[in-house]
Amino acid sequence: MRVIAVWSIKGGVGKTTAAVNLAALAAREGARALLWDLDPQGGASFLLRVSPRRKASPRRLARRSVELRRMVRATDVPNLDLLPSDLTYRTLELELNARKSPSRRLAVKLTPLDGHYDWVVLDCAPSVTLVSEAVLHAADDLLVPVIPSALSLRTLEQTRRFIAQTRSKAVRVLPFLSMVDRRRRLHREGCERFAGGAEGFLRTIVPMSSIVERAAEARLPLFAVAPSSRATRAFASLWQEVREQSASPTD
Amino acid sequence: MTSDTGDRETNRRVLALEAPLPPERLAAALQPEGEVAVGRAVQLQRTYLDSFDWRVWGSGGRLVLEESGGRQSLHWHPGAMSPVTAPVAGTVRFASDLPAGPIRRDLAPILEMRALLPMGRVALRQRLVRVLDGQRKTVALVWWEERSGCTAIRLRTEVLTGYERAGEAVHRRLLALESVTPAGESELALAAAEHGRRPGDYSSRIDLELKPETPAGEAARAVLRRLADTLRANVDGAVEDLDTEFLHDLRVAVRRTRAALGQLKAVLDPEAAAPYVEELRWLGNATGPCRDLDVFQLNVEGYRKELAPDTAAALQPLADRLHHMRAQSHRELAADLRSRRFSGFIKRWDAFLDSDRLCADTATATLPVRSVAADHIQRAYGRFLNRAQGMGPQPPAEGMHRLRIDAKKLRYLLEFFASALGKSAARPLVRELKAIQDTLGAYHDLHVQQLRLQEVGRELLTDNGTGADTLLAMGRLSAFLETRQEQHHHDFARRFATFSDKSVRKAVARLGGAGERAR
Ligand SMILES: Nc1ncnc2c1ncn2[C@@H]1O[C@H](COP(=O)(O)OP(=O)(O)OP(=O)(O)O)[C@@H](O)[C@H]1O
Ligand SMILES: [Mg+2]
Repeated sequence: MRVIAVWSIKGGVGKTTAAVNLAALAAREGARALLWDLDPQGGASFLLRVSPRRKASPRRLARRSVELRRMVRATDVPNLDLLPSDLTYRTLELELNARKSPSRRLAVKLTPLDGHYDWVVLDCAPSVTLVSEAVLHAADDLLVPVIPSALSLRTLEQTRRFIAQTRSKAVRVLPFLSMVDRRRRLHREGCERFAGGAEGFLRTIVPMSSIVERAAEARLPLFAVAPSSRATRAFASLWQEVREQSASPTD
Repeated sequence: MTSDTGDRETNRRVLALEAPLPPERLAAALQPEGEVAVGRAVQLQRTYLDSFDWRVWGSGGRLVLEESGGRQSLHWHPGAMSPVTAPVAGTVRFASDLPAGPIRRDLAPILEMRALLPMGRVALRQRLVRVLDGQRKTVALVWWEERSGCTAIRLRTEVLTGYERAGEAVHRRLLALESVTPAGESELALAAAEHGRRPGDYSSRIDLELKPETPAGEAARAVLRRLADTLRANVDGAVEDLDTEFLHDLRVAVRRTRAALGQLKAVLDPEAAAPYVEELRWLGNATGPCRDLDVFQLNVEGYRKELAPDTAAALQPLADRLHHMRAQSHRELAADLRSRRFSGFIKRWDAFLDSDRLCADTATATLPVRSVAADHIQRAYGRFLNRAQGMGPQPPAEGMHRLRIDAKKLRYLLEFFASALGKSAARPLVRELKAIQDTLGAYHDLHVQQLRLQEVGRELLTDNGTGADTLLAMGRLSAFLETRQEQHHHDFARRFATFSDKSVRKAVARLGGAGERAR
C-alpha cells in the first residue's frame, strides 16, 4: 500500500482534480484504490457523488477503535473506494487534538488498510493545520500542484520548509505544474524553467482545460468524459510518473 | 431456500428465473428503492478461468474473463474481499500474464506453475440495471443476463461497500418477484458441465474414503483405479504441454502405481501384474528426461537470481540450451504418449484392474485393510530406519538415492491408506516424512542437475560460438549447486534424528489400532 497525499498550502491549485483523477486512473488499471477526502469542503466526495454514511462522524473517524473500513463507500468507478467528507468534518481538527499523538493518528488509522488497498490518495484542504501535519506523517509521497506564478512558487518553498520542520522521516515531495495556460507569459516561463523535471518537478504539465470543468459538472473522472483530450492524457502521464516514482506496490 | 448454495461469491448473489423477465419489469419492481437506470444491451462472452486442478475455485475465489466489443477484462472475486477488475490485452495463460496489481499478487501464489484454462464459457446478453440515489450515485447493481439460446434469466446483484442496506433491499425486492429463486447451481458449474467438468473434480491427491474393515485386496484395487484415472486425466495436458504439472502428476501416478505393485505383493498377484510392471517401468523412463528438464528450467531462474548479475547474464546460453533440449525431449514424450504401445497399455491395464486376476489368492487379501496397511507401513518404516542407521549420519550419494526411494515408497503407502488408518493417526509420521523427503528430494534434484550441467557444458564447448564467460559461469553454477547439495546432505542427520524419534516410532507402532496389534 502506497499513500499519496495531494497537498498544498494554497487553495484552488487543482488538488482535488488531481486526487480524484489519479485515484480513478489507478483503479482503472486494476489496482484497489482508496481516496480519502480530508477536506470539509468535500470536493472529492461531490465529484464522486458520495456523502458520508450516516453512522460516520469526525469523532468516530478520529477514534482509534473504529476501523476506517467501516466508513468506506464504493464509488461508481470500479475498484475505487472513497472515505467521504462533508462540512461536519471541519471538527476533525478538534477531534484529533483531543487525542494522544494527534499528528500520527491518520497514519495509525491507515495501517489496517495495508493489504487491502494498493493506493491510498489523500485529498487535503488548503491549510496548515493539525490535519495537514497528520497527513505528512501518513503519506509516502506528497504531490504538490503548482500554478506557475511567483506566489505559487513561494508557497512551494513554504511547503518544503513546513515539511522539513514537522517531518521526522523523509517524505518525497513531487511538485507538478498545474492549470497551465500557455497564452500567459509567466506560465510559459514556468514551463521552460521546470521542463524535463528540473528542481524536483515531475515532467508532466497539466494544462488549463475546459474539459476539467466539464468533468466536474458531469461529476465524472476525466477519462469518462473525454478519453483522448489533452487534459486526460496529461493526468494519465502524471499518474504514470507518480507510479514510477513510487516503488511499485505490487511487487 | 434462502441461502445461495451454488455461488460462493461473497458480496454477489445470483438469482435464477425460469421465465423471461423484460428489463422494464425489473426496473418497475425496483422503482420504490430509487431512480432506476437501465443500461443498453451488451453481447458478452464470459469465460471462467482456472487451473486444471481448480486452484482458483479451491481458494474460494473466481476468475472470470469477459469479452465484449473487442475488449477484454478480468474480474477477480477473491473469497473474502470485494471484487477487482482490470483490463487485459492478449491471452492470459500463466500468473505472469495477469495484470500487475492485486489480481496477480493474489493469484500467483495460488496458481504457481499451473496454467489458467477455460473451464466454462457462456455467451450472454447483458444489461446493467442500477438503482440511484438523489445524487445519481449507484447504490445497488443488478446485472440482467440472458444466456444465448435460452429464455431463462439470471440476475446477479452486487452489494456495494457502504451501501449494504440498499443492496439488501434490492435483493429482497427481486426475491419477491414471481418465479425468482436463488440460483441453485453456479454458472461456473453449469458452464463447466458442458465440457464434462465439475469444480473440484480433479486433484492429484488420493482422496479415497476407505473403510478400515474393507478387504485389503479391494482397497488396493480402489487405489489402483484411482491412480489409473489420474494417469489418464493428465495425458492430454502433458501432450499439449499446457503446463508442467500435467507431466508431473502423470509421473507421480505411474510411480505410485509401481510402488503399489511392488509393495503390496501379499495382496496383489505379482505374477499376473508382471507384464504391467514392465510397461510402467517403460513409462517411467519415457517421462523422466522431460520432467528433469522441467525441474531444471523451473529452478534455473531461481538460481540465476541468487548468483552475481554478470554470472546470471552469462548463463543465458545455458537457459537457451535447456529450453531447446526440453522442447526436443517433449516431442519424444508426446510421441510416446500418443504411441500404440501406450494406448494399448492403458486399455489392458484398465481391463486388468476390473478383473479377478488382480488380487492374489491369499488370506492377506481378505484381511481388513487397516491392519494390512499398518503392517506394510511399519515394515517400510523399519526398513528405512535400518538402512539409514547402517549408513551413518552422512550417507554416500548412492545411499541418499536409495533412502529417497525408500522414503517415497513409505510415503505412497501412507497416502494410499490414510483414510483407512485414520488421518490423525498417520499425521506425525506424514509430517516428519515430508521434511526428510524434501531434503532427500532436493539433494537428488541437485545431483541430476549437476550431471545435466556437465552434459550441456560438453555440448556447448564443442559449439564454437560459446563464450568463455558462459562456461565459467556454468562452473560457478555447478559449484553453487554442489554447495547447496552439501547443505542438504548436512541437513540429513538432523532430519533423520527427528524422523526416527521415539514419538514417531510410537505413532507408527500404533497405526493398526491401539492395543490391537502390539509390535
Ligand atoms: N487543469 C484545469 N483546467 C481547468 N480548470 C481546472 C483545472 N484544474 C482544476 N480546475 C478547476 O479549478 C477549480 C479548483 O480546482 P480544485 O478543486 O481541483 O483545486 P483545489 O486545489 O482542490 O482547491 P481547494 O484548495 O479549494 O481544495 C475547480 O473549479 C476545478 O474544476
Ligand atoms: Mg480541494
